[in-house]
Amino acid sequence: MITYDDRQLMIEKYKAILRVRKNEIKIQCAHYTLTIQGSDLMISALTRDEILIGGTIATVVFNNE
Amino acid sequence: MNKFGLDYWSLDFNLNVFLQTVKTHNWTVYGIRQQKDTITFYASVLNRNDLIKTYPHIIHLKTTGVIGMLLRTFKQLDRLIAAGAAAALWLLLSSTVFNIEILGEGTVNRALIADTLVQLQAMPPFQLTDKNVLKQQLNEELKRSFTWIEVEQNGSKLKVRFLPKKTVEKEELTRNELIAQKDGVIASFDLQHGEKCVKINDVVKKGDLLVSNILLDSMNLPEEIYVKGRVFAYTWSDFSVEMPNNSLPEGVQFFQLLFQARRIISEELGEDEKIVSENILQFSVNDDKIKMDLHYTLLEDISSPGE
Repeated sequence: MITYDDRQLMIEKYKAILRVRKNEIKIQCAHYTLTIQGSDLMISALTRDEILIGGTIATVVFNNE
Repeated sequence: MNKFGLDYWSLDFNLNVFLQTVKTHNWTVYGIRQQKDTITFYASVLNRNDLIKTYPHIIHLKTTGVIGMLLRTFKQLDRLIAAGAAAALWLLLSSTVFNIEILGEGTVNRALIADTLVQLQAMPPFQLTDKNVLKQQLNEELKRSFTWIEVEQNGSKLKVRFLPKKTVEKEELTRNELIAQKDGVIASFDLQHGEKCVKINDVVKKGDLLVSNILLDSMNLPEEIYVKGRVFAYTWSDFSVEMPNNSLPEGVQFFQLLFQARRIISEELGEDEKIVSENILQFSVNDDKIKMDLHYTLLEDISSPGE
């Protein structure tokens, strides 16, 4: 499940973190890959099942597998 | 972020691998940032040992929050000693009693409680470990005099509350007649039992029968009864007071003698007795002494049980 606003995005039940850059973060979820693009992106909080991404989020792209 | 505090770490490691490791180990990390190859992040102090074990080269930068402040404080020996001394002093003073308040009816009863506390070595300041023990001791010592004793501690003040036992004294009546102790004129009666033999304004002499223990019934047969009470009469007293002559003015000497006479006469008066009138018969000043003659009319209880 994903909840978000323009400054942060919370992803629950993610599988893996594929890439972390300042302008792009790629997350592997159960049935899709999530690509978050923006600026000054950072992982504000990270647990086993949840990830909170902060920064200026421009786009969120779902790629079905 | 954890409101009590977090460890702040710096680690030279691959970020993606690190993030996978975080998920695998079930850590919770915050504020992950990467500058070149260095990752900085915050993590719970509970994960500290785990992180060091997984990444031996990890660098601990600081600990934030209350936990950080406490850890920094107690690393210094003098602060540790001061904290320990403060805790010990607090424990000591919290069980020390500095003041005792005794609440209940009667000065005599309060004094009895106070004396018992002294016997039990409960004199401020003293250590009171268990107030129930003291309460039990007081109840055992004073069970004949008190129905209930309660002990409560409020900080360094001890309150002892009590309820005295109320007993009715058994009245003992006698059948002795009341006989006049002095000459006088009968003023009033304060009589509970007995047969009056005189009436108000009667002149009585010393030894006269005032109240009898014999009552005639309807058949004119004598019946012995109890006698209890008092008989008040106007009596008279003449006496003199004197003192050595001094250099004080005559007016002052006069009042000195007068007050002396009043004091002497008042010392003999009992409950409900009083001076009715005072007459100064003579006041004389000689070379070596000053003398005053007085006459008093008194209201006195002249009755006395006969044998």
